[in-house]
Amino acid sequence: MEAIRLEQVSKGLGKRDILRDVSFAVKSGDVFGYLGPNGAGKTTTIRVILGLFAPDSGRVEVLGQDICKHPEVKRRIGFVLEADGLYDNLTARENLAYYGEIYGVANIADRIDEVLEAVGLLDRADDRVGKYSKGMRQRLALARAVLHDPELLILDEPTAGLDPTGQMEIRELILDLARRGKTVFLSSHNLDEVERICSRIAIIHKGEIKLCGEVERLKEAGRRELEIRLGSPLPEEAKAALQGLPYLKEWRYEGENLLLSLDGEHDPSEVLSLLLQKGAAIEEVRRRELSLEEIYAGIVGKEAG
Amino acid sequence: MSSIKAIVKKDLKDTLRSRAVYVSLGTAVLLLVIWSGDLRDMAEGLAEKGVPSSQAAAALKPMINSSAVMLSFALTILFGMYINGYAVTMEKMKRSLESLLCTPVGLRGIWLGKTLAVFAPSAILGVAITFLGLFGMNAAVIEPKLGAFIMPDRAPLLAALVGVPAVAFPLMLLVTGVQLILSNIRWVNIVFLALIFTVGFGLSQSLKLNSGSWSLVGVLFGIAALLALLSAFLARFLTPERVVLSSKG
Repeated sequence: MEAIRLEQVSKGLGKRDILRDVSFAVKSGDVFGYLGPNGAGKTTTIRVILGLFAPDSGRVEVLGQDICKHPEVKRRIGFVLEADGLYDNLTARENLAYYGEIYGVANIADRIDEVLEAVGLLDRADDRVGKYSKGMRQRLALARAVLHDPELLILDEPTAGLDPTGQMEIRELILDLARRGKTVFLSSHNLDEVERICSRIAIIHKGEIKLCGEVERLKEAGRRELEIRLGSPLPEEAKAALQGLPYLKEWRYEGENLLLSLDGEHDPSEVLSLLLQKGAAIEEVRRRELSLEEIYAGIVGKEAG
Repeated sequence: MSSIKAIVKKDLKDTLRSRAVYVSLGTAVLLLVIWSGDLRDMAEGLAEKGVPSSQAAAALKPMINSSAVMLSFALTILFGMYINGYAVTMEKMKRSLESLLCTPVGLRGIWLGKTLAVFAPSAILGVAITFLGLFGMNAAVIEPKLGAFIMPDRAPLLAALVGVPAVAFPLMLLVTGVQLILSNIRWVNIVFLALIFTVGFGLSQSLKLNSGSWSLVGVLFGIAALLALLSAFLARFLTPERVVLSSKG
């Protein structure tokens, strides 16, 4: 089952097109990373998913429902937005009690203790939130997000502005939620974080989805680049042979090395045999592994350039 | 309904912990002092002239009638302005309203909850302080000087107790609604002040005509109906998108 499905969603604000034909799906139980530079349309996508913005065109389904027509589905969603939305004059316990009452959480006092303990704030439960550090606020926002035990969590930059320890703590909490079968939609700038905890990602740039898929598969696709160290320059005959290969997306020199980018599931030994036949002096061959950062830079950097 | 109750409860708790209520209480006391000065001067003048208490009471009655209505209105609006600023403007500035919109409450529920959270304490405080002031002035000045305890007639009494809250509720509903969709706080203040002055002016004119008349109650309910219609019209423009986009950040 799909927890979120966006089909050709477009949204403009004023004269600007913020989202253009955005389509992707998040399966139940996935930890889905949503990446993109500032102003790419990440927050607008989240607002569309949460029913704050109605799309100009396209379809949005959250937990199998159109959230604009069936707002009751919001009971099954937890969220941490860019602005934490906590009340400084209230204590952590009061903040949670407020949302607990809105969601109609049963045994609210026990549940509050439970979630505060999970985020490590039980000993500060009766302090006013105005006195909390940024990290504590984020942990409390996460506690609020899970208070009503939702099936789907929408997290917008939950580790933004946190120190490495704070980031690690939040990451652990998200992983723990994923282990308990929750679907997590994580919007982030932090590629390392997304690579560590997400099983699938989408990259949005200038309002368009540029790439979407399983992290390992995307990296696997990157591994189809071969880096070949040559003992001597590539013979003309070998160059001509490369030009004619239908499954070779691109070939280029990077310093002394030859880089081959293969398309599809093609066996690299085929192209290597051909090069050897045409007299190439191959000294070393290795598969080039692309990190998520390189994949991201390849999309966002290329467009920006 | 329980969600709306939760909003009202939270907002009351949040507001009571802010300085807004205490600043507005201070301003209310200042208003009462100014008003009681005028009433005391008038009572003392009548006492010095040796006017009999029944005639003095009749002379003071229009002022007591007007004061009951105008003080109740002014104080309710004063508290409303302070509390509203805290309950709605601050939430928009800190963008906590956006989080609230992601819950199942719904925008209409938030609008109603916020309005009730502003209206309930304002109306209670406004009416209570008005009548405490009237009792206080009677006990401290009027009765000792003139030997009479003068309270408003039935029509202004009903106007102050029921008519003013009946106007204040749609007025606050309208202002809260405008606040939810406008990003420029100056425009919100202009709308708020324009509404207060228009209603206040209409009220003072009808009090001048006859402060003890039942038509005053009719005028108040007429204003309330008009404001309720304006609120219903405003509801057409109230969308979560407008609220989010007009919030800071």
